[in-house]
Amino acid sequence: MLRVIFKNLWNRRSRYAWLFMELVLVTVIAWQLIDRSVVLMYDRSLPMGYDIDRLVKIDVSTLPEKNADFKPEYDTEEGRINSIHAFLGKVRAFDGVEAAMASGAYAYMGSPQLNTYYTYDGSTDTVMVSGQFFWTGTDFFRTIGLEPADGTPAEVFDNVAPGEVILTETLARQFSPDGGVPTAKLFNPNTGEGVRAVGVVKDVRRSPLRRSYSLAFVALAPVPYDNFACTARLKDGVDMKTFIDEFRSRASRELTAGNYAVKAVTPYTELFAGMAREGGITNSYRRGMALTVFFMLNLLLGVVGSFYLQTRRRTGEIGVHRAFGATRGKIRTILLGESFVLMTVAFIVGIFLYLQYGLAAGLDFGYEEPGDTTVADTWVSSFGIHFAAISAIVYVVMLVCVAVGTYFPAREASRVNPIDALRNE
Amino acid sequence: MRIWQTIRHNKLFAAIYIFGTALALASTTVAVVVLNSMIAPVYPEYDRLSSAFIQRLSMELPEGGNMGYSMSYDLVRDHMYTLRNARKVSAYMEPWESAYASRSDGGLDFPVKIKYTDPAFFDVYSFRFLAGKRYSDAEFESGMPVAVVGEKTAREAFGAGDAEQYIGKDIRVNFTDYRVVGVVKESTPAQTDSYAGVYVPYTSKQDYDQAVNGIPWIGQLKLVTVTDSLDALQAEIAELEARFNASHEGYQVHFFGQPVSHAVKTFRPGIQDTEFRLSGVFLVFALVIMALLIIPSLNLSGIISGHMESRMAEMGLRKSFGATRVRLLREVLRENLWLTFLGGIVGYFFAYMMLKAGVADLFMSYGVATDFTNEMIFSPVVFLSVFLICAVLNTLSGLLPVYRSLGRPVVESLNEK
Repeated sequence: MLRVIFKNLWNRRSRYAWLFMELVLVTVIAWQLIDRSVVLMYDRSLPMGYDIDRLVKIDVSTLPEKNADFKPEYDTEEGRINSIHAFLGKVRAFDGVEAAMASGAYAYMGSPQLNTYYTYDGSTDTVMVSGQFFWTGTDFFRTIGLEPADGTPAEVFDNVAPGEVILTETLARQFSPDGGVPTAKLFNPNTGEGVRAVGVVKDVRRSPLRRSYSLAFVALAPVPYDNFACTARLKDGVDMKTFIDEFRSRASRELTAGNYAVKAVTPYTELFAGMAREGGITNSYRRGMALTVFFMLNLLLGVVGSFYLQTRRRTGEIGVHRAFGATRGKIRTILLGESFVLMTVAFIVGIFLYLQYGLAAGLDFGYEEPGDTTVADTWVSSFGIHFAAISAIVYVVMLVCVAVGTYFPAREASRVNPIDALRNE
Repeated sequence: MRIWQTIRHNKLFAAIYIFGTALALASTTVAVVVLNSMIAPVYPEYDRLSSAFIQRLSMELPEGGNMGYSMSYDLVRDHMYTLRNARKVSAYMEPWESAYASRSDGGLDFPVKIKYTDPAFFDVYSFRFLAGKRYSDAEFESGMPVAVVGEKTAREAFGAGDAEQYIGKDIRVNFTDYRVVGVVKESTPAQTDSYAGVYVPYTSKQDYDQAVNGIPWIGQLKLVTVTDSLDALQAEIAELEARFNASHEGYQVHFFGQPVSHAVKTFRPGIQDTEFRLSGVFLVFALVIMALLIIPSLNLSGIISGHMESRMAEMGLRKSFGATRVRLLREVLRENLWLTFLGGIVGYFFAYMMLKAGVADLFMSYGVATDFTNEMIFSPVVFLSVFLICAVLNTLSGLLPVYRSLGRPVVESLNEK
């Protein structure tokens, strides 16, 4: 049967030329679009290492001096620090809250952060570290839900002091291969400042937008900013929407401390969705999917159109096949085979072309950033596996498209009555 | 008409042709509408083609390093408000952190975009006032806490009602009360230059006249102007830049070629990218349109090619009775052109639905929710572009397969019968 298929294709090569060119181009374009979407999907599917579903961010701001409720006696450094702790106390006492911590307004867990270089001990090798700053004495680790790695006692979290860091397991391995707490100090080669690692936590990702598990939690003393962010963890079983509604209705009356008042409350899931949207990541993903659907629809139309018009003209030939004993199934198989072979050859040409581009420009590695030092461990960064995996996905998507596009014309063609067909000849 | 006969006799061919064209046209129309809404005059930015902007400057400091920020009040007051080559000048501030407005029903604040402006902002941008008016010069000079609000924001803050009802009420933004003096038809967040939910005088801001870190000319104000001669305005600013640098030892101010036009400001990746050329952006856009058209064109070429084969006998007969190849080519292309236009109309309808459903937001880098108005969708530029795209698509897809089919010898064509 393969010989018949190849013969048919060769004899109709000029008729199939347009469809062939379209298949080659769709392969190249679909590769680019599907690559981006699959890498983004993969990044989103990686475990976070902590449960963001129960976290809410509360934006807190200082009242302006003109406001009637402004109290000048609290507007000192000490007054503000005391107000931050008083505010946290009120949030912890709020119905449904399990734990709460405070951070700079733009230093909440998952916010874009500064990256710094560290060297280990006397080594000249630098490791770029993605830093997540936190305020000491505000219950950061319990609120976020970070777990100590083996060998790190939980008390470390309560006693960590400014100038100390806690590393994720992945980052700790960069400095000490056994994954334990690095014993020597880490130095920032630019400023000469040293920080001491005092513990290791199980791997977490900073946000769903980042692939890396390499993260350093850098301890800072609380700072009396005008604005700060409070993160609260809800108790297990508390419904997020009910909590937010309740919080919103009571916050302005109950949750003020000194001159601090609540501006907004946002679930972390919404926060990260917003970051993905504003960073263009959500759009990039949706755009890729929309354009893939667009090109596949075009391909489907092209295949349906070509095969319907062809099968109408091939009634006589199909009649001969049927007269010589070919079953309807065989006719369908021949026509489907023609489209599969045509698509496969076009696909091979297409991925060969894309490979040239991929070798020169690289494949899509998602949104890795400096400091994302573990990216190399995933399939995304391995050119061979990455190329093979995406090629396979593109092939399957196109195969489904071509199969759907060919099946109905093939079914109609196979229903031809051999007597009618031969009489027309 | 012949076109209806063609459709009646070749329903499948016509359906695939029209639907395929509609798909291509819908996607390219969306792209054209998005580009058009980014650079063409739309509410309330009707002066876009003669607008010029200074958003950010950089100051080299005597102690080393530099400071990149916007302009100080001193610079704006002493030099910018008196620019000779600008017809209109307005200065404004846009805080980068979120602002929150209170609801009158006591619910927690909602995020709102706030712009701190001068009264001239409402001369540069042609807002439609649904009630009240802009804040007066006197209110601006005295730093009164007054506000012009967008109708959607007003509705969210005070509840549904007539625009007149909102006048005189206080809207609380970041714990400060502003008296509403005007309600405007709200534009969309995609109009980043003009869009805000709340506009207040920048003089009502506590530190509006403070230079950042005491550095001369560095502050928080941005500038939008309307000018008849961008070149002259740029030369005037360059002269100002040179005068400052000559008279302030140790300091060097850089305007990076600003003021720049609206289009340059929209597409230039960074303020310091002075080599940026708009032609590069339009080239990329043309390539995107080509990519969106090339697949459907190949598609149609394949279908036309198949359809022409089934018409070989008819073509052979016509030729044997003296019809020339050019004449037949013209006829077939005209038939296809009608089908393309039918597809174009369906495609325009698809595009309208897609734009209203928010599909165009996918083309915006930051995913802002854009309310595409009928003014943006049915602009003459878009109509003309779609017409041209139809013509290009028709020629691209039809010419070669039809020409090749008609080149076959008459005997061979008649043999098809």
